[in-house]
Order: sequence, then structure tokens, then C-alpha cells
Amino acid sequence: MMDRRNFLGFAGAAAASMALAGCGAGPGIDPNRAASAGGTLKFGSWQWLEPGRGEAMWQAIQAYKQANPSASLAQSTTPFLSFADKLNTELGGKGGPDVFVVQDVNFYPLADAGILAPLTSVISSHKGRPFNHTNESGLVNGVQYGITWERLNWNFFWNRNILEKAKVTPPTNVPELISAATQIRSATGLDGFGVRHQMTEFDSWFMDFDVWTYGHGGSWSDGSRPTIDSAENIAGVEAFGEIYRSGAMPIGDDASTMRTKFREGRLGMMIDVSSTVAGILRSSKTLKSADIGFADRIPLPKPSAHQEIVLAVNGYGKNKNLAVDFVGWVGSDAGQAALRKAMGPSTLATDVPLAPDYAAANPWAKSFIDLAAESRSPLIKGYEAQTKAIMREVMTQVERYLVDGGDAAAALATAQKQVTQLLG
Amino acid sequence: MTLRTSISPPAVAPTQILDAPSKHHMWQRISPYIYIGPAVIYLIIFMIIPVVQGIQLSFTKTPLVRPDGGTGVGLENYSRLLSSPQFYNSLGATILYTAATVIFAVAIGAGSALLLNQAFKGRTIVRAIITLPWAVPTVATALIFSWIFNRSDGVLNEVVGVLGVGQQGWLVDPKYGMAAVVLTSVWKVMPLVMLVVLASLQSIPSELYEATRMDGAGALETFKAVTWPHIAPTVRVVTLLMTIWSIRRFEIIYLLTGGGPVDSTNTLVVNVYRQAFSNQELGRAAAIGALGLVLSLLVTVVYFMMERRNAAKEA
Repeated sequence: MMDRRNFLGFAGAAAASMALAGCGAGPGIDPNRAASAGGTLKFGSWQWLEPGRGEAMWQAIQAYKQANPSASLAQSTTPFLSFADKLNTELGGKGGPDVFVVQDVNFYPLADAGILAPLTSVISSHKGRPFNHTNESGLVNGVQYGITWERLNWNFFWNRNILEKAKVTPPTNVPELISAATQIRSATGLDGFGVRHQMTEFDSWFMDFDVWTYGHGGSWSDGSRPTIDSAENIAGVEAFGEIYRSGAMPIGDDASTMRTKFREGRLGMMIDVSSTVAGILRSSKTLKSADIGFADRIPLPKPSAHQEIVLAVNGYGKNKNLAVDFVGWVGSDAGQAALRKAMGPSTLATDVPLAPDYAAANPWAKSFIDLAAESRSPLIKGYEAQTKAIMREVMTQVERYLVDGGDAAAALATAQKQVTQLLG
Repeated sequence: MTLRTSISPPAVAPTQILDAPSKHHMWQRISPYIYIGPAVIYLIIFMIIPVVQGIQLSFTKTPLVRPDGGTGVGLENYSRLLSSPQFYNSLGATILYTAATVIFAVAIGAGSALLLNQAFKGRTIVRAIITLPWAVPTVATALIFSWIFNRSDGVLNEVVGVLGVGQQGWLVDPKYGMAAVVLTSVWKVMPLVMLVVLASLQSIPSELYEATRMDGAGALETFKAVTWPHIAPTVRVVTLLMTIWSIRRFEIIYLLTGGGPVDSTNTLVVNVYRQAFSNQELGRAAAIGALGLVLSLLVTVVYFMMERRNAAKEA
């Protein structure tokens, strides 16, 4: 007969069994087996969901099967907004895709925590066109943990038709930008200038915002201490504040809405990355490449910012060697040529040129690529792994300054104090 | 003639006869455990263990990407939180959001239930329409309201423009951020209050209303003497549930404002998300979560104290 104690013991054992049932080891796969043994690589990226571009990229990397016929690729995808959260959670649980792309601000903490597979062999065995300087983003604590998937540089572009209609000449500095945006608004009733400006888009806005502070020569640290309230950063925040309050910006619109407006000819000028322009042109029925006006650089005194998407291998992956082999192929001339066709105006891991016909049809593309030579990373020097935490404090104070007005210097002084507390 | 009656021996052994009541007795003893067993197992696996682990985590410094690589820091996470103005801002936002959402949702929901309990033409259709927001997915709700509140093209600014009020940044101005989030939340959760209270109203015997009518009672007196005493327990329970759910609500707030503008809607739950995923500090996030749990427990304790007092009064 089962007494109460035995019954509770039985119930506990049953519960434990049920819990453990979900934690089965699955089919045994040797993580160290040779790449030539093949297998299926799970490739994590939010980009597979990007209309047109995602499909083109996916098709491009299928060429890997020519180099390794026993390998196949499978998509692992989540929308951009939750991609990094999901990836971090999966990797924290020693799971996740075999190989993935991730923004450099999210890549660095993963590499720093030692949960990515080193790509030393990819670098040492590389042949063909050399890796360019952008791959330094994949170097963490002296070890190469990632290579450049693409570097997206911010640049300034506009709709030529709207500027002509408003009788506005392309601006070359901030006062001219404000004046042009205001003129577009008053002459056409359209929004003059669009750029991210709210905390609901924090994960992109803080990188986007570097355009303004870097453009005034600012930095968020000197490598050993935060320099949030430096004169250059204050100048950048004030410049942004001026355009924000000009009345010519669609305040409250997110990036997606502003891109739609630009595509539909309802927004005159934007600062955004190269893939945005390519996406707008791909999805627009009316806007042609010749309608896009572009600058050689953002109308600010100093070089601007970029966001880099890094290709990395999961250190817990079941196909590590195959994944490393795949990354090596991506860096090869064959891989880069395939990706170049799909990615258009991005800077890639090697200096593979744009296809002549694409470059001729899209004259703005090269200007975006050329900016990679001097663009700067959103990672905060000396505090790379804490970049997002630091920037949340900074952007909260920037938002307070934008909304409440007041003094940019005081806002950044508050941020400096909070960041200092945060870093202990 | 001799009548012979043959009595067959029992088909079961004497020991089995003795065992039958014993089995029945045993079944009676263990059956409650079998009935509640699945629920208890579920609660242990998905509630108790995570809560205990969360509390353990709150005493550590643990990065998101290395959840098993935490180091003990004692009460540091709590002391940092309790000395941080941002935490109190977050606590204040939680209390404000919860109070406003619960008050408006319960008042409007109960009021709607009273109206929809009256007989009128098209009542079923109106009930169905008012229930719809509850059925709309939360993400869709947030998206729709973000368009409604949009500063440049939103319909709300069109409406207030007609009234002579200029464009307002409902989601970008800290003066209005909380109001926008509360309005959206009330729209979403109010139908549930209405349905629950309506169900309670429909269980009131009509004889009671007839009796008050015969006694010459007016509408207000009838409400005080019959309606309210019947629906009050339901309203109290739904208020408790709304309060706990509001303290825990994340999607609407995060999708509409992300905790902004200027942290005005940065409730404890949004703060937990920020600490865990943006700052990648699981220990600090767990500490905020533990303090949020204390807040929920406080509300529950207050509720049960009030219930006991009411029960004592009635007794």
C-alpha cells in the first residue's frame, strides 16, 4: 500500500522525470567532426525576413554547396527587434544556431564571454582578396571571433524631385540642413528631414545618434573613463536638438514609417544606412535610382558612424568545424562575389567591387561604401561590452533634452554621472 | 418434502472481502493528491522553482549570456537598487500605471455591465462589439494605438485639432506618455471586467428587484440594497486580478513607448527587461523582479485582509 510519504515521493519523481523528458540529448553529433563530413548548418539572421534582400542573400550563400557538396543550410530567423534577445538567451542556454550574424554591439559581449568559436584558422588559411580593415570588429581580446558580414555606413540622401520642387539646394552643414528642411515643409507641406529620434527604437537609435556626436568629433569615452559630457558631444546633441525642434521633422514617426514616406515621395531628406536606400528603391514603383540625391558625406564636420554586422560561429554548436569552414567560404573570393550581388551597397569583408552595371545604375552606392574608410564603430572604447547599458543612460537624457528643452550640457552631465555610477 | 436451501460459498476469498473497504479507504486517501497532483506539479515546475531560482539569482552578478557563470554579491543588487532614483521612478510609474488602469477599467467595465444588463434593442450586438477589444491580440492593439497617437498623422491629433488643440506628442512627450499607455490598456482590459460583472449581475434573482419595487425603492436605493451587495465580491476579485495583471503588464507598454518618453512609463517589468536584455545583467533584473513580487504580494495580502474584515462584518 502506498502511504502519503511514498505517494509524494512518487509524485516528485514523476515530476522530475517529466521535466527531464524535455531535456533529452537528442541525436549524438560530434561537434569536432570534420567539415568534409557535411551536415546541416543552422544559420541565424533576421535578414532572411527582409523582403527581396533576404531572399537574394539566401540564394547567394547556397553557392557554398559547390565548395562543400555534403553541406546544407537551414534558416533560423526572428524579426530584428527580438533577434539579439533570442540569440543571447539561446546561447546562454548553450543552444542556438550554428552560425549567425549579429550587430557588433551585440557581438562583442558574446565574444568577450568566450562563447563564440575562434576563427583563427579562417584568417590564417585565407587566400585571395585580403580581408579589409572592417574585420577588426571581429577581433576581441586579441582573438578573431567574427568576420564582417556587412558594414552599413550612414550617409545623407534626398529626393531630388522634392528638393527641386521646393527650390532647395542640397545642404552641406547643419544650419543649411535646418533651413532646407524648413523650406521643404513650407513650400510643399511635406516632411523636410527624417531621422530616428525616440526611445521605442533605442536599439537602433543609439547607433544612429552617433552620427551627430561623432560628426562633431565626439567620443563616449577616452578608453579609460567615460567622456559623455565632452564639448564635442554637447555640440552634437545641440545640433540634433535644433533640427528636432525645427518643425520640419515628422516627430513620432519610427524609421519604418519615415522610409515608407520617403519611398512614397512624402519626405525630402534622410540620414540612414545604405541598405535603406536599396530597400526603398527595390520596393518603390515610382522612385528611381536617378531620383536619389546623395552627399559624399553627412553634412557634419567630422567622419560619421557605421553599424557593422558580424558573422560568427556558435561555440556550443554541433557543427563547429563545418560552420568555421562556411565562414572561410564567405570570406573567399567566391563567397564575396556571391554576396556582393545580393548585398549591393554594403561594405563587405574584402574590397570586392560593385558590379559595373549595378554601380552605373546606382551612382549613390559607391559613396556609401567609400565612407567605410573613415567611419567609426558604435562600440565605446574601453567599455565595449557595456555599450548598450551606457547608451541607454545617455539616450534617456538626450530624449529628456529633446522633449523638455533646457541645456544639452546639463543633460549630458547627468548622463555622465549616471554612467559613472553604472560602471561602479 | 424437505425444503433444502443451498447457499453457495462466496466467490471471493474472505481476505478479499476484508480488502475491499481497505482499498476504498486508500483510494479516498490518495484521490485528492491525484486530482491536484498535475496542478501542483505544474506550479512547482513553472512557478515555484523559477521564483526560487529568480530570488537566488538576485543575490548574484550574472551576465545574460552566461547564466550559469554568476558570482555571489550578497545584497549589492538590492542596495544599488534602493539607492537609485531610477528605481523609485520605476516604482512610481508602476503604481501610477496600475492605479489608473485599474480604476478606469473597473469603473468603465462595471458601468458598462450595468448599462448592458438593461433590456434594449440590439443589446446582444452592443455586448459583442464592446467585448471585441479583449479578443484583439495585444501586439495588434499596440500597433493600432501607435498609429492613433502618431504626432504627425495620428487620428487623435486630428480630433483634438478640431477642438482647437494643437498637435500633441502623445507618445513622445512625458506629459502624455503615461496617459496614452493607460488609455490603451483600459481599452484592452475593460471588456473582461464588463463580462465578469455582467455575469454576476445576471445571477441576481429578479424577485429581489420586484420586492424592492413593491417597497417603493428608487433606482439608487435598489442599487445600494440589491445590486451592489451581489456584485461587490465579484468587483473586488476582478479588481485584485486587474491590479496584479497591471503590475505585471509588459507588451502594451513596451511596444507603445519602450518605457519612455524620458522613462515616464518605465514600469518595474519594463525595467526588468531592460536590465536583463539591454544591460545583460540578470542579477539586477532578478532583484527588480523580486521587489515587484513583493509589491504583488502586498496587494494580495491587503485584499485578503479586507475580505476577512468584510466577512467578519457580515458575520
